[in-house]
Amino acid sequence: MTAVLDAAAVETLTRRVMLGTGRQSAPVQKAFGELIAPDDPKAALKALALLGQHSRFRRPARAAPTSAEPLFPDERSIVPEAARPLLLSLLSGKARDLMDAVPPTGAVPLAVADTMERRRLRLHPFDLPRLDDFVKAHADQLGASAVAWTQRHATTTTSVDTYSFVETIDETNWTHGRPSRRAAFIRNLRATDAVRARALVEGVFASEQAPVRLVLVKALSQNLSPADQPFLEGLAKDRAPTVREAAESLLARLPGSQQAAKQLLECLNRIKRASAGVLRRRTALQLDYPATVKEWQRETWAISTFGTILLDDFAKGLDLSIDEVVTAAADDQILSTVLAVQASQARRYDLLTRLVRERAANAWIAMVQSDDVEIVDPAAWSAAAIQPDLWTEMFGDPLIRLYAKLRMPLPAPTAERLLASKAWRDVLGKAEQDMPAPIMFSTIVTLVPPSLRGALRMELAALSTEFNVRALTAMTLLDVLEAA
Amino acid sequence: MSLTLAKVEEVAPDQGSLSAARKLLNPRSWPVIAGSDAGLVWGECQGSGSQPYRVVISENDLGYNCTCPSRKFPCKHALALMWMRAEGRDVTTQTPPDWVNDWLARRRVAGARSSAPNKAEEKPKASIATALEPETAVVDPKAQARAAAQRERNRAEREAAILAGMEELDLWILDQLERGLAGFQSVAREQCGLAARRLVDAKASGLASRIEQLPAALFGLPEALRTDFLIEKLGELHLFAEAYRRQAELPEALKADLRLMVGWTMSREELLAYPQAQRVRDRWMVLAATQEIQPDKLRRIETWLARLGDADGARFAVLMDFVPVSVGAVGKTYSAGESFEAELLFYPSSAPLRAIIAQQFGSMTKESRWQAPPDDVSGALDRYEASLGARPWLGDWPIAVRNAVVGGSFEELVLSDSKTALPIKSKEDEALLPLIGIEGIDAFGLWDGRRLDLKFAETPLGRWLPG
Repeated sequence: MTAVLDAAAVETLTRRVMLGTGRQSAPVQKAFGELIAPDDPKAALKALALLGQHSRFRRPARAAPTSAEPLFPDERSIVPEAARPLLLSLLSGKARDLMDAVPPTGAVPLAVADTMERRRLRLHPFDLPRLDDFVKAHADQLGASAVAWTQRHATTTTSVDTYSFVETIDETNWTHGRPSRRAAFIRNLRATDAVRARALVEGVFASEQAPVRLVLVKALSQNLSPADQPFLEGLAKDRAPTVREAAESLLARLPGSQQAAKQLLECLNRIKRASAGVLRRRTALQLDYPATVKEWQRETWAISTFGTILLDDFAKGLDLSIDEVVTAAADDQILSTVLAVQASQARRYDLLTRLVRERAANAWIAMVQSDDVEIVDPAAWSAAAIQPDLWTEMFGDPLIRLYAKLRMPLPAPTAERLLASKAWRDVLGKAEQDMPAPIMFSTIVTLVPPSLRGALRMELAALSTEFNVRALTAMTLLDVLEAA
Repeated sequence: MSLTLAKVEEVAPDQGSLSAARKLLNPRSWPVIAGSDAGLVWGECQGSGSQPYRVVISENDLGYNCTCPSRKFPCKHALALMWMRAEGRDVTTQTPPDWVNDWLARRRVAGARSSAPNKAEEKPKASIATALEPETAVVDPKAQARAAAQRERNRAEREAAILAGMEELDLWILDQLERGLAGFQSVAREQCGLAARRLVDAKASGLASRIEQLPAALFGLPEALRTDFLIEKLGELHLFAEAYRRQAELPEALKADLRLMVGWTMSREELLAYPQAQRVRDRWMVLAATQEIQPDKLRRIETWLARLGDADGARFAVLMDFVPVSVGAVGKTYSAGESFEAELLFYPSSAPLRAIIAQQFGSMTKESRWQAPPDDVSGALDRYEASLGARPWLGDWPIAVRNAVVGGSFEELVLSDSKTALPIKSKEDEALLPLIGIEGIDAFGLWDGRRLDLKFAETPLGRWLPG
């Protein structure tokens, strides 16, 4: 038939069929010759059928691409095969709810992302679409392929900011990295060479967009010194209000700065001094809250207002020694918590331990919930601030935030005390009747170091499936990733 | 095959069912749980009613049954039982009770049926049970003859109605041709609805359904492909009409295929009794399981199978099940990557593809790897064209290619070897993107003559399945 139905005939027939044979009849004879009788009343229909079949035998005219590069290249190793079903089970859409509903920003996804970054692992490329939410939330830690996946639509649009993924970041390439990695780089450099870190930030600051400027300014909070003052004061004229506020907040933490003096004065004006005791009179301090601050807002307000004040300045302003301040604040729970925050900021872990054990057992909750509180040495801070033997109950959401703040498990001795604490034993013993959220158990998994997972596994195994399945899966996953 | 949590997730119809099943994992909800060596597990689950629900699952093929009134399949009780087994909860081994045996006896899966005791063989010659069974109805030859004659009259009436419907169909196509297909798109829904209704009246429901689905398929295509598509589809409709009028001249297989396409049905029993039906016993691997809701409110569940071992050449089959949409979501019974030995019985066709499981032997296992038949893209297209030549109204056709690569642009992906490239239906499935650039892919997909719907791929990075 091909001999009869040539390209020109197909073209003509198709045009007539599209325009309508009512206007101009289809040239059936010309196309098909004797194959269709001239007097056949259904000649047009037969021609249509043959034209259709002819079209169906036409092969697609696509040339094979000369080369095909992987869309999501990555030098990291792919996670072990055994980890893939566990990842999907914990972190993908439908499967996630088999265990319990946890947003991808919970402690388990964070711990998984942290472990993958530490072990230089990447997701299997085929799992990227299935773990889309997880990838979006933690792309920076999951490697170049994950970052490329989140930017897959950017190839056709120019409005999306694209930053390349820098596996090993240093002074030569830090400007090309993603904002969060750049901030982490500056933060780490501040610990060893604060001046150099500030100089790097100053060098690129003017050319960065506001969100990037903001994270870079915040990254300077490590090792603040009067040498930073001119740069920070210069930011008072920044175009972005968020950047101006961040700079002001840092200035308030600089000893001797105008902002610090102003904040200290404001704080001292909010402290009521009185005498207490019958036989031995002693000074008693109490916070005086503005009328607009509701009772349930008091702790948050106090920490955000006074938490960044230097402990020494605070004591000096009150004309008391630090010990005397701690004793004088004993009757004000929130003030004791503020002092614990100040001790934490000043890295006075001995004082922090004393405050937590004597006055503010739950000060850690306020600290992990505050964006202003930075934990510089997570191990030392945990040993001081986390005293589970004093807890009256386990706190689900703060525990998630605790992992998010630490980004590592608790030190082994602290974790041991946690597993031995009454609060934890109560949760385990009364799980069937109190029905705690299963997320409690999986969060504990992230806080327990690998050396204690065996013991935790045995304890969790005694619970019914609805409570332990997610936690046990998470534990196995972390084991597999850490062994990779 | 031992149950896994992943498998339980796959069979679950929706998230709600899984969440509900989770609440039933407590052993206190199950006063009775037992199992047999044949992979059956049954139990009684205390629900809100006075009587506990009776639940049974078959671990071999994931069959299940429950007496609860749920309209989800499987229900939360069956899911909970599967879940418990997936977690290795032990059950005491017992002889299956009567209600379990009854269910087994009613099941269609022959492999599973064989594990149930054959009631007829076990029954003593005389028993109360036998006495209680209804007596065989007395056969009235006259009534039978009347019924047969009535059936024949109905058949003849339907044949006449269909033939008349075919004439009307031709007229309808001619009308469209005279007006011109360029304007057809603007009236496609209205016109196709009209033609479909006429064909339903003419008792050609198969063709009616094809026409009803035409607008959706048309508008699902890129603009550039629509002209050819319309010409092909309307031409194909005339082909049906002409072939039906001249079916006596057609080869037996093509004629039977045509009648099935037009709307005549062939029940499972009729197919089993059909002497020319092709039977192929081998090990079959599931490459894809898809669900689609049809305009007639039926959910069509397709399970695409490939014969393992290509000593006798590539061979594919599709199992089709239809479930009313009103019964709710349905979980997957088969998952890609599973395999089982079975005798498949193919519906008569000049290019046989649709089949039923005549008999299954043993249980399902997981295949670690599938190797496509040794075809390049051109070879696979050759096979497609051979089938199209044998069956001019060929629909989606399975294509398998060895050692291919996915390439092209983000918007227009292709599956190719060194010479030829097939466009892939890609826009709606981002799961395809990670496949780009991976060489040495063994791919399986459904080719509609224009674009390949990729369903399964073995790659050096492991198995790929659509998202």
